[in-house]
Amino acid sequence: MISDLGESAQWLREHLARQALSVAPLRFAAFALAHQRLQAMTEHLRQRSLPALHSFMSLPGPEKDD
Amino acid sequence: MSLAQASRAIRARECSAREHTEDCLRRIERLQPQLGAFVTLRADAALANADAADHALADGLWQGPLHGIVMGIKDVIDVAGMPTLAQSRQLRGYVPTQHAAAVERLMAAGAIILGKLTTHEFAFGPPVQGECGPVARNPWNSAHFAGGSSSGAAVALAAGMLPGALGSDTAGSVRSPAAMCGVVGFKPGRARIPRAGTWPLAPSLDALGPMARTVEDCALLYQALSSDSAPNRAPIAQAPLQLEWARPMRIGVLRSFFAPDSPLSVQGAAALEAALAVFAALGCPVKDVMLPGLADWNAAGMVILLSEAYTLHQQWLRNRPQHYSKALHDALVLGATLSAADYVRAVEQRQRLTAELQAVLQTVDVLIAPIQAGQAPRLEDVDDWGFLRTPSFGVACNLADHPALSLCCGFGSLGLPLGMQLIGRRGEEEQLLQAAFAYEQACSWYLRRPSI
Repeated sequence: MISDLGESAQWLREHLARQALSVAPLRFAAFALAHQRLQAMTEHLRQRSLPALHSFMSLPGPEKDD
Repeated sequence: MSLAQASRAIRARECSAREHTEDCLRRIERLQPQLGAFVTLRADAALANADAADHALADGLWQGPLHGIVMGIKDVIDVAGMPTLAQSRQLRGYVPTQHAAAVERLMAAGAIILGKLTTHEFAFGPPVQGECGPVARNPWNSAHFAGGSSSGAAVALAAGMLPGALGSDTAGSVRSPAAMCGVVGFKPGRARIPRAGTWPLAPSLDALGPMARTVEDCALLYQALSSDSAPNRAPIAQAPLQLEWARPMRIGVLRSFFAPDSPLSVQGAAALEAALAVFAALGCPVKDVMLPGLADWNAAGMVILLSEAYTLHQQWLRNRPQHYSKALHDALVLGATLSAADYVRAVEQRQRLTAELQAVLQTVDVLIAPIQAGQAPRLEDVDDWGFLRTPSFGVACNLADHPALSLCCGFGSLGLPLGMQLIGRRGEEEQLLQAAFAYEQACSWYLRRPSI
């Protein structure tokens, strides 16, 4: 089941290992699914923040000579 | 007997504080084995304090409405001399030497602390039976969940073991168990009750709140908790909070929380509609209002909660992960997958949503929303990852820091309570209590008791 999660699971393992963290092998599949749900939330937030970001980016910036 | 009734009886010396304490202890002795509401019980100390309260009263010293009233404290809040375990092996052996600030306020108002109440590990994990405490069981049917994480408080109140309790609420943890057990849970604004001496879960969302069987009892507790009186000082004389409203309030119905993507059950929705009809019959103008849906609030709430909780537990997750339950360990580790950008976007979203909520509350006095999908599920159906799978109705008011209260609005087909949430304007806790009191008096659901 874990291999079905593929690259995402591999990234997750490595990301946790870099922070000296781990999840028990028998619980990893459920953890990876929870991570996918959380990623859907962060993507939701990213989409919501885009209009504000565009508004910010369209503000006139400093002149080159400033 | 409600807290207010016990208070009046003690003051009039129709009942002593010792008799009141002994009544609670008898009920606890009988029901604790099946309901698991307490983690720590200090009967002898409570009886000694009850005797002291009786002697003080005989000498003409009455400390206020909580004089001689027995209370329980959620086991993430320090009470000097009692272990704070937060239902976790991480805290094994920790016995605080100082009371939490909120506990000091309760004691200054004359309350007697009888013990510590069951919670979920660090107020976040799922219910886990183990060496750090029992699983609290719903008094209406002990095969069912009691809500979380102030589960022991809601159970003890509903079962008549205690008249009042102090809980904590990060994403609905006072309001949700109160709704599942048919009692009242009140989360005021975060600054109203000091959190010093409380184990945090997510510091920017955490709030403390009183729980009781009636709105009047919650108001009495809230008044003591939000006062500035300190131990060993004469209590500040306070007029009781006014619970009768001056006029029927304008009620807004938070329809976006009833929407098709909401987990609200048919029975839960029907109970809420019936409650709205009660407000209308009381003379309240009732209108629908729209705000962003649960997905918007929950995305911000869960990212902030998981980020802040991970930050607090980071060292222990690395150095002694084996001292967490597996479920809480994994939930906390999930926070390590979030980035600074995720957190910043969640904070931005929080600001946008809060502004929208505040704008809506300029057009109505109180909002009504669900607090639970419906009746409490069976304990075996509670999922380790339920906080991600099922959106919370409660977290919106933690994000926006608005006062919110839950109370019973009926019973479902299994005989379990159904609840609703009332949301007030910032700084208008008293008005929120008034709206809840008007509904409670009109319906009297609070008079029903589980047959245990």
